Amino acid sequence: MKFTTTCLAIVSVVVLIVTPFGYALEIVQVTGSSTVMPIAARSAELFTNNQKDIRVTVTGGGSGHGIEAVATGKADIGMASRDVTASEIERFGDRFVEHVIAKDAVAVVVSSDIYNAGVTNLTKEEIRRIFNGEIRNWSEVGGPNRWIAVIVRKPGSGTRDTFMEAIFGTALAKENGQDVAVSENAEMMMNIVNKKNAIGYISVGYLNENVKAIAIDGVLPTEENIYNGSYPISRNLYFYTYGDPLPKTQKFISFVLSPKGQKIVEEEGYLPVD
Amino acid sequence: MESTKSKKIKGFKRFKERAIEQILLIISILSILIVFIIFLYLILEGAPAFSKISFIDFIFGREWFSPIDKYGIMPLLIGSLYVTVIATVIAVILGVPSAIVLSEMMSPSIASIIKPIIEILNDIPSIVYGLIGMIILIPFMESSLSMVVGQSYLTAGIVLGIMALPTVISVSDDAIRSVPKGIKEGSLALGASHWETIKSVVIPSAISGIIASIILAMGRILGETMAVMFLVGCVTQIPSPLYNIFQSGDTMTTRIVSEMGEAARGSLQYHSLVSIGIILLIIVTILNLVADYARIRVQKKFGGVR
Repeated sequence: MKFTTTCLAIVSVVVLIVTPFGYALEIVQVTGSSTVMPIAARSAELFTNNQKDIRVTVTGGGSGHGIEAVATGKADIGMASRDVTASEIERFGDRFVEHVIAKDAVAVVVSSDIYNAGVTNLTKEEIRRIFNGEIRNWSEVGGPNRWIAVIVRKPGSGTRDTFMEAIFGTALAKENGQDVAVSENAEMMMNIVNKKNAIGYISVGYLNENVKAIAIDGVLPTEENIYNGSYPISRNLYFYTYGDPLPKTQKFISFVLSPKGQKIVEEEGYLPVD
Repeated sequence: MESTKSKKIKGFKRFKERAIEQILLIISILSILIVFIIFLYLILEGAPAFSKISFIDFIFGREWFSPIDKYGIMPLLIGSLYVTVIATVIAVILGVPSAIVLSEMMSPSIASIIKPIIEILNDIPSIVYGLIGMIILIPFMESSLSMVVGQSYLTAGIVLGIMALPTVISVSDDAIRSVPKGIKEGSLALGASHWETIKSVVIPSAISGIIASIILAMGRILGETMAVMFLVGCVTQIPSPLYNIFQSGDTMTTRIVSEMGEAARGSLQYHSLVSIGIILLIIVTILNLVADYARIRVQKKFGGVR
């Protein structure tokens, strides 16, 4: 009895170890921006289910991490919600190939009390002065007499970079008016909903009835305005490869750009390419 | 025949015992080794930061802003200090009296039910404290104290104080219980009331143990991360005015968590973050040594009661 059990255990362990070598399974590793990750993860799931030769693994870690990983060969695709920076090109060399897989826009949002009190449009300059701590009270921009709670994203976030570049001109600027810095779009939403005096920014994919976008210089972040470029805070989402993609990698990229993949992009709340 | 067989068994038994002893020794050496490896690793990974920023600038620098490679941890030191002090004060004010009531005034049967319940507080994951604080305490602070944002040193301190309560209560309770009965009974026999006995005999005798409990709690508060991240605001700034505990800020632990995921390995940012870890480890080690010293003192005083 005991002997049989032992034999069975040994056989099953051997089978478990040997099995993976039986298939010529190719793995595509994708890592980087947490903004792009939902798209890549859903696509990878569908892609892997539809064929058996290539498996796609997706991990997060931020745009910077994705770009570093792809340049150092630790990953096949680096996800990024921003362009490769000059310092990165200087560090890793200029062999990055970018593949735009979706479009995203960052919406400026305020607490519903403030929205309902009539603050539904701010100029770019007003937003900059609010985030820089120069405008401290909602009454200065036509709202109720309440202090402004400025919620920002932490440095390193692609959403923050996009917002700062559009409003402050550079992601290297500091938001001197910040009251709270959060790590995630979801945490941003929680703060905007729970507070009665807050302003923040969020990826358009996260907008809903509780969190409404305000217009910037009269332009709302609608699909049309983002595509024709009139909405000021928008960006492309990228897959970066280092050099031309390998056939296995190319297959996955093509899948994400196919109608099926672009449908996932829409379902995740972003805008398809073109 | 018989005797050689039993000798063999004895020999095997001795070998077995010795083997077990050796294995246990190796395991305990391993755990000590791990502490050293952690220290060594932190120093190796953190030290390169000081080739680019001076140690003085790192400790006393007033600004931490990674996009332009500015790494000064003064705001984080102040933040950790404020949060720890607030939390410790709350834990002591609520915890030490609870311990006195538990050990001296309650009937043992009730105390034996209540103490485990208090200790359950210890088992609640810190993220749960953070979420409760975020959903209940922050809106409360905003509406009742009319703070611009509820995230502040004070909010984080209150929640951490509650988190540290079980440590203070259960260690203080043990210290008070370990005061020899003879001393107490002597005091009562001299005509002192129950309260007078507690005040001038029991507490002074147990004070080293109580202090040890407080220091242990401080260590826990200082190292706490996830709950603080939701409650302190994560804005690296020196409060203005300096005593303004109603302002949002940042602590050493939350800064590490906030940026480690985005920091490229080998960058100045990465080394600086590890260096925060070194500072944190040094502070916690000092706290632990002080707690040990206090515990040794209490043992000496009462001839190793515990």
